[in-house]
Amino acid sequence: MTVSILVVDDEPDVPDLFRQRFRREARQGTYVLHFAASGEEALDQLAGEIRPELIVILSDINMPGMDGLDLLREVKQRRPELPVMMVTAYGDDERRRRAAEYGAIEFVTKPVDFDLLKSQLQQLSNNPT
Amino acid sequence: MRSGFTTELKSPPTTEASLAAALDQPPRVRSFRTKLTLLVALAVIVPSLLACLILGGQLDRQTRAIFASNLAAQLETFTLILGNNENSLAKGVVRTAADNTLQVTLDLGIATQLAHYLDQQRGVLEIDFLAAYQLDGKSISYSSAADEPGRGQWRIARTVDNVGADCAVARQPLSITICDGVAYLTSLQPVDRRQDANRGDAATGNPAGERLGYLLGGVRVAGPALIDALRQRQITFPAIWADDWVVYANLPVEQPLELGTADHPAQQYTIAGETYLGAAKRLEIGGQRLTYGVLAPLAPLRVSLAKSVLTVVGAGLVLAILTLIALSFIANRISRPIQLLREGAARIGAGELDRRLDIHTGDELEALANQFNRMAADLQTSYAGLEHKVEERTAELSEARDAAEGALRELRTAQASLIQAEKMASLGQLTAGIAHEIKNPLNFVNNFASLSNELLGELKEIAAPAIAGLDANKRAEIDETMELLSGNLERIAEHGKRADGIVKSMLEHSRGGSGERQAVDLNALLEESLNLAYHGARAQDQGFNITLERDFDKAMKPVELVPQDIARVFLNLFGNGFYAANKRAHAPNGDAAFRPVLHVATHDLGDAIEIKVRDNGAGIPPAIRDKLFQPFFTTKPTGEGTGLGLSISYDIVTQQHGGTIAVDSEEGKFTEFTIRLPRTAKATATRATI
Repeated sequence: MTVSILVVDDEPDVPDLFRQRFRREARQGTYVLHFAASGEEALDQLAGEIRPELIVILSDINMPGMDGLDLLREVKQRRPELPVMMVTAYGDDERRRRAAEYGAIEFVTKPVDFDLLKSQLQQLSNNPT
Repeated sequence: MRSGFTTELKSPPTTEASLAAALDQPPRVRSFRTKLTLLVALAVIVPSLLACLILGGQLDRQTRAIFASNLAAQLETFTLILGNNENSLAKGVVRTAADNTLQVTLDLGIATQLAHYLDQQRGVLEIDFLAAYQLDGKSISYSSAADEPGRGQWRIARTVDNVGADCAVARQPLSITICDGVAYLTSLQPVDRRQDANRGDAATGNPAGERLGYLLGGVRVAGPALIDALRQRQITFPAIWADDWVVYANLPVEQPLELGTADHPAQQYTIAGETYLGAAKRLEIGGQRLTYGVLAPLAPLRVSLAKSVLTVVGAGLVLAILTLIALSFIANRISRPIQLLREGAARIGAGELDRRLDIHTGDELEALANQFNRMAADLQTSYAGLEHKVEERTAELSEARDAAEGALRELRTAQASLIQAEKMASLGQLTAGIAHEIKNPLNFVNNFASLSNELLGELKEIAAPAIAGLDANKRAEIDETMELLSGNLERIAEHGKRADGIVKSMLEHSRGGSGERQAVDLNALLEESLNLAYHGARAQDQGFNITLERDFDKAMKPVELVPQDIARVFLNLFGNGFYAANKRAHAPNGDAAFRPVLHVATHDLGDAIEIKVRDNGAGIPPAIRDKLFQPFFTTKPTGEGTGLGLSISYDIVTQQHGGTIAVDSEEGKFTEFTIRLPRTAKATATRATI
């Protein structure tokens, strides 16, 4: 069963990196990757229909405009059941604490360990909340 | 009186010249002794002389006055004697004239009886002569001593004009008459028949109350009796003159002397070259002037006066001389101690502070000298104290200056370390900021390098059948290119990982206070870190070895700190120490006997604790000591050190724990890091978060 993943990051190379890292899964039809370059864009996409079913949002924290933590709160208000994972280069305690408070299920520090991420995503797709 | 100087102590430096000047300098005014002598001489001698003069004058006047009163008294006596004579004469003649016997004798004209009667009566009356006259002035009878001058020449003047002279008696009860060169006091009384007489007056035919004749009696004005009386009364120089005729004087008086006035009873006369004092009186007797006086020579008076004055002056002089002698003695007695005082003051003024005065006069001067000595002693003490105080103050000033300089040095050091700390803090922040900025692109580099290698592997698999169909040369070329590409990608990944390691270290600067402070046994923490560092080093290099020396303060009390962070600092310092000591041991031309040693010591300082980490490595050149704590500064070869170890350690010690870290080193001998941490967190600065 194919599911969707939304990756929110203002870095233009992030979509390429994720597509290449998840090329096998994409080829096998496990995941469909969606990308948004900002928090606002991510909310726009959420408002529309994301196909197939969206199982997780991976969001950067430092972004111009609405940052990842603001997005997290918005998402949790609209889709409280939707898991959100924060991905950031800033692994400090304050952000970690706030992310957990707002309801992020995971706090991943960059550079992303993709093997670990893939196993976490596997768990999510196997046990949808 | 015992006087003099005594020298008791060693003199302080004396300026001999100034002393000599002070002592030799003649006083601007006369000395006290001279002044005192002059003053007392003036006070004694001048009044003495004045007194002598005044006394002399007074004596003269007094003597003259006494003399004058004496003369006046003599004159009075003279007057009394004269008056007595006069009175007795007048009364005697009056009484005789009234005598019945005389009347009868005259009446009857019995001449012999009359003569006899007159002789008898003259003796009773004690007068010089007694004569009876008829009415017509013819002498009837005369009685006198046989040698009496004027004998038989007495007559009664017919007119008033020629009375008083030439034995002619004026017809008045009392007059002065000169006869035969002798002045007489004469009294002429009429002799009348008694009213009650009843003696056969018919025989004579004279009626009762009829004048019978005249009775004349006289005494010498200056008769022997008078002179004798005067002599008895000690009137030595009497003088009597009637009108202009000198009656009596036992002095060579040629003419009547000028009479003294009533105011000045004593007049000065010069008689035969001699000066006399005299007093005179005038009597009017029967219209004639009788002047009588007393005289006294002035010479004996003058002599006695001079003697008195001389006695007084002599006594005055003797007194003055005695006074001067006494004065000299007293002045000496008074001025000697004063002179000593002056000398003493001069000597002390010249710096001889040990001078003392030895004056025992038992009066204010001794008290003054004692006071002076006390003052000198005080001066000496305070002088000595002053020198001591000056030394003390100098020492204190020197200490204060040293302290101030020390404080300044400390302040400069503190300023320098503050600047350094600020620099380090901003460098740390900068480092962390850079790390963040580099981290993202570096992630991409690493990710894409890793991906590219994966993709290359996939490409090899996919392209393998096609490549197998190519000729051997082409296949070899493709294989070689593939290998090079794969190698390059691996190198990119490897260097990316290295860069990632650096970035991670850099980010430690902004790691934030994740660790909690807790009370830690510092010695145990050090021991643990030491073991970890040692075994880590051994794991990396089998040949590594070092002697570890521990000098832990056994009385170390627990310290509040973040153990994992401080442990990082320790590990870093131990690692550096191992590296330096080991490097020296393996130096190409090193001493074979060299044994690398790392010495770790702790000290509990109460409010703070101190950790010293010392290695006997090659030391740190002074030129690079300032850069030790800067990020990215390293002396290790590229790839062996990031240059961030000490920078992070610095941050942890100073920023996070509010402590200090310092380095001391001597090239070729040792390097010692000293960390000092406050015991509690009170002074810890909060760390800026990025």
